[in-house]
Amino acid sequence: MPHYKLSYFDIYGRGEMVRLLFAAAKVEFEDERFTREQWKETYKKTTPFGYCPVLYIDGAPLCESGAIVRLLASKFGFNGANTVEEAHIAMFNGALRTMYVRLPNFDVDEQLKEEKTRVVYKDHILPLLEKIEKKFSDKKAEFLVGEKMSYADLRLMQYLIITERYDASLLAPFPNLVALKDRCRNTDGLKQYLATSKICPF
Amino acid sequence: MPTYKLSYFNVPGRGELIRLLFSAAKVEFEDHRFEFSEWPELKSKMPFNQVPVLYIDGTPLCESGAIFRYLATEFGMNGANSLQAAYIEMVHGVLHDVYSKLPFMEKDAKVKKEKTTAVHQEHILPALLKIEKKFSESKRQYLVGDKLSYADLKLTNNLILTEERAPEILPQLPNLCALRDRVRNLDGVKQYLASRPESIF
Repeated sequence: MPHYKLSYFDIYGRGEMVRLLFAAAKVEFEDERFTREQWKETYKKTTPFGYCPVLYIDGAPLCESGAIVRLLASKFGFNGANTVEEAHIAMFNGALRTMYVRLPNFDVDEQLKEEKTRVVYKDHILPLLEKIEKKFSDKKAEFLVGEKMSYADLRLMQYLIITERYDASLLAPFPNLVALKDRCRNTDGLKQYLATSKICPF
Repeated sequence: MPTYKLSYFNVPGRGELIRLLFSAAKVEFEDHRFEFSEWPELKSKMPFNQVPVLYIDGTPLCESGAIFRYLATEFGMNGANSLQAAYIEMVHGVLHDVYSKLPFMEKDAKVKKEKTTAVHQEHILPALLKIEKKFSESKRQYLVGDKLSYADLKLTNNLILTEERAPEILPQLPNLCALRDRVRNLDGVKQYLASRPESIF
């Protein structure tokens, strides 16, 4: 097994999926986390293109979170059984990201932030979850794509936990997705990671 | 071979790399392009209210990244192994990050020109210089591995745009420009580039 080091801010952001994959695969990795100041002063200039996260595999850097997530998912068996499943996994992952990144994570005005958050849920996130809930309940399977847990399930779990912390009542119309979220969070590896990992606002 | 139909706006945007993949692979597809005015009616018919959507024997797949990675893998343009696929995705991602900063939606022509030049100087050129350096040191024909990948197609499309909008940066990128010219003259790609509609962006 190579030596893995993830280098990223001390937030979920574009790094948490990578951490979740290591946890789900029960593979050790060095979880390097830095502040914004440390990024500007020290880390940024050491990266291939001035971006993070960066995954160092035996010291060789790989950046772009999608590339990192998909490489680890393929290596650890969370990327479907064939190319069609890979495409559907990427589709669910991408669709969820597209909607959840609209959340106003950086807004300073609390009232404005709350208003915007409600709008993003109402106009974007909940309609998407409704569509995914329907597809998933029609499928009558344990996981979003194929027969095994994939990074799409991890992504859904991560985001639904964030929604649960914000307002669990929003998830009431999606019982199958909630059941999937709970199935994933209780799997060996993830359970321990989620019990001890830092809770971040985003 | 399945039947393929791509549904997207009549612009390059998130559809162009998909169209280039079909061209480079010389695989037939229905290139369904619609105007912005048609979108409100079409939107609810899409799986997740978004485009592009690729119909593979009628089954829809959305999310442009999922689509182009799937096609690239099918057409042998996604590297020889998962690590090469990761590097291809990395290069594509960096190019996408810097080129998306361009002011595509800016209506004021003067402001658009200024911002386009600024984005090229502050974001695009620094990234391309890093890629140029690694690429010239590697002495390879393609950005990753030994074969054409979707990263090469992405670079080619982006540099063609730069040729039109900020050609002054190109002399610093001789190896990437040579790659662009090799790719733009490939059979299939050449014909597509000659016949594709002009973009309003």
